[in-house]
Amino acid sequence: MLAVLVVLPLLALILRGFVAVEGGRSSASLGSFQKVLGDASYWVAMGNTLVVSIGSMLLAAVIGTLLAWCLVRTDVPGRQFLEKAAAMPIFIPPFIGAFAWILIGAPRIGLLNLSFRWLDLGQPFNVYSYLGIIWVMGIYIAPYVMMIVAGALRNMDPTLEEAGQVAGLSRLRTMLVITLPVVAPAILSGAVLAFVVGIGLFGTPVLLGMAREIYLVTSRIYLELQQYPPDAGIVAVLAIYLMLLSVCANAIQRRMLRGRSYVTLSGKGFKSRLVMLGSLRIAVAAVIWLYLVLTVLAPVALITAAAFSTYAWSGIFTWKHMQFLVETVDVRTTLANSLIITVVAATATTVLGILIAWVTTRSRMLGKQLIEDVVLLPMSVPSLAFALGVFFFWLWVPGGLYGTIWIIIVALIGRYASYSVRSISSSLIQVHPELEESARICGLSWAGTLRRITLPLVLPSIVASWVMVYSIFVSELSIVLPLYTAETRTLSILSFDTWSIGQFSQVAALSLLQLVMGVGVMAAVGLINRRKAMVVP
Amino acid sequence: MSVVVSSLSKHFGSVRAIDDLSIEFREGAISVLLGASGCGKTTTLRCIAGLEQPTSGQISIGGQTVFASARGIDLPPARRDLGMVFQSYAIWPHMTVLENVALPLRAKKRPAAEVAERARATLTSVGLGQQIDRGATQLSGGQQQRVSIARCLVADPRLILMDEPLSNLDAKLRIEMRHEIRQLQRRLGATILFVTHDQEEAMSLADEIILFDKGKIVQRGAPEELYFRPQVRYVADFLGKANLFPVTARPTAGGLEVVADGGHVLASGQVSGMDGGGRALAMVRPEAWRIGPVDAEGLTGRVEETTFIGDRRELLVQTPIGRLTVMTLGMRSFCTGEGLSLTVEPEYLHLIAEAA
Repeated sequence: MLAVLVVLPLLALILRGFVAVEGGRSSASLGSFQKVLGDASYWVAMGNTLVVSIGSMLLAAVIGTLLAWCLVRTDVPGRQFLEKAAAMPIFIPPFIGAFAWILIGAPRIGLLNLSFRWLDLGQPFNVYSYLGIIWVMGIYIAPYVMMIVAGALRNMDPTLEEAGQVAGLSRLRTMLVITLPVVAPAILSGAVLAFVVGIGLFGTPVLLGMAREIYLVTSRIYLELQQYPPDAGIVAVLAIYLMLLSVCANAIQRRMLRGRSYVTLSGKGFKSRLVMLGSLRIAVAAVIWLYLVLTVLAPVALITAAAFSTYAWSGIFTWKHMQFLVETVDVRTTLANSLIITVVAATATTVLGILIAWVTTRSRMLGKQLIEDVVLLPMSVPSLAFALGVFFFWLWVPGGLYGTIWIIIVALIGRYASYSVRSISSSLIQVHPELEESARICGLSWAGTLRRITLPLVLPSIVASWVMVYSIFVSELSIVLPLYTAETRTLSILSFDTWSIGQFSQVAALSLLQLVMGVGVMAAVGLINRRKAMVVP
Repeated sequence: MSVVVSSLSKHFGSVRAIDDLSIEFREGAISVLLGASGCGKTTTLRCIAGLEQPTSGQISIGGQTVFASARGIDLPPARRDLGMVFQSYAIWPHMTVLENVALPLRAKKRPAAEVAERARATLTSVGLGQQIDRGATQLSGGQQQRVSIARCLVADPRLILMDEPLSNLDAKLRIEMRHEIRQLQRRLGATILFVTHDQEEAMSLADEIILFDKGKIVQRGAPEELYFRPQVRYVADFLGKANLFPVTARPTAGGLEVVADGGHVLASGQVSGMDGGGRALAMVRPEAWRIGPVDAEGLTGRVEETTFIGDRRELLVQTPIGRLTVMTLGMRSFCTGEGLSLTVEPEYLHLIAEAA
């Protein structure tokens, strides 16, 4: 089953790049490669992807590392809340984040430019540029780096730093000579993850780049798909390029980390002293809040404002766009599609996640390492490339999955199963096997133990994992884009199409709806779940 | 190097980890800070190192005040001129063995040639001359321990702090390292403060033991002093095994006559712990009892349980003054129910003047 979900689509994608179809007959060919490599505009797109992804990766690494350090190692007020909040930008769909930044920084209508023009300072910001794309991508992928580095800082043996101070290093030099190198592998892992996410991002470069003809590989793929009939070979080659980039990034990471396992023996659990910021506390907190404002609060506020205004910034209140949401048939059918896809796919992903997590952490099954590797594989494949693989695979396989919502569901499961496996197995590891063994001794069967002991203990993480994939699925665009048909359009596709015809206020209304369905539900469940959270020793 | 701590307190919220502690540590000796977990010994060491900021009090090292709450002095660890060995060894994983050991010298901005030479020499002196260029985390636990000791010694610190450095080693290596640390101290004449919760380690290492309980010092002295002449019940209980029972001491011509409750005269002569008579708590170590045949003079008892430990055999003996623990050689066999008599020499009986 894993093969069908994960491996075969990837193989299909690679194969498709080497196949030429003529008059219904397929033959091995390098024609598609020749077409792509022979056309300078593709080279430009590949270069752009590289430049933009590296730029946003560097920005994300800097922001993420600073955030992690401030939140874990200083006495900045409200650290616990801020650390949870700083992960939120990940759950703002890229399309919506980019759209919000158009409202903030677009040359004519952007809020910042409006205010500067009002002050007679010209129009300093242009989000439709390389820097604009790098900025918007970077701030939204920074939490990936932040979470990994924060974990490493927390696991780091605090006596490593103390030993440095005793050896005669000042606080600052301890940070530079000891802390930074020790967490460097984590920064690198975070940066590579951010890079892989970045090269696969679709919403941001399309919204921000295409207006000024800045094409990235993902936007080229989108354009190729708009052609009729699309040249599947070229699309496949472009997707293979994305996969190659991510394979290279992972290879570089592995090479740099070779032989550098920084797991250290830790002493008694003395927490390291927090760095006292003193009078800087408020300033540092303000900067972190600014980050939240730029990524989450301002976009949400702007989208809400735009959704209730007659046109952008008119300031005139209207229900018109809400009526549009309620009354349009398109909205209703796509909403229904989105809900069915999201709920089915999230549930299936979670169930699969539980099974695989249990097998990999508990059983002694042969080849469980292979299973884990296969499940984690799509994590390093850009979404759009993965979806194309699914597309090619089911096109070849008889059975008629293509054109139904099921192909979208299957793609979502394959791409995101790793997320739920990760989060569920990390909490399964915390449940000591002796808790289960003692239940078996007490007379419970294998299934009874799972039902009465294991599942209740990891329930909070199961719920959390369901909600996480649910909120990603609600507005997932890159996966759906190559797979939808006229009957299976989703809400995200509808907002994208609405954006293409320039109805910004309606896009705002649709985005708001997705935000409420995604992040809103996640926040609500998070609150309920926290109250029930069990402490597992 | 003299280390003087006066009226030191450290509160974590409402918990008093150290409570108005004053002590002057012996120069050129190993002082072991001993106690159960949470007694304040590690916190005291970390305050001296500057890794923890005391709530109030004063600390001076070699005559230099490094912390004084009243005068707002709080030197960072880097300026206290210390060496420290941590429980986790705290070997920097991103550096080689040599880089680890060289760092204290580099931090002091010594010339590169001197840094390399001294780091090499120190590593050779701890027996790691061959491992100089290896990654520090590729070494075994014992070798990492040596790296950490070399790093602590390399800059000739005026004071060496050791925070449970041996508790992650296996039993055999631990005993070996104890000897090495002792030899090292004798060779350098260094002042070492050593924290441990392991009483055997404390007694075999220490020139002086400082026993902590609830953030205060209960008793300090040579290991023999604490073991044989505890001033309070807590010390007698904490170190080794002790038979403790209430007695009355009466002055006689040759010293004191110690009478157990019930009238049995335990010993008469030079008894340690008290000069005058009165109520007291008597302590007899299990190995101090002399076992005689059941009809001999002494405290008669019946063996309730015997435990064979190898070199020793431990007996639980029921007597008129209560159940006593008696230690004897492993080769002497006893069976449960066997009768015997117990006597103790006056010099092995110690009195604790305490409201019983």
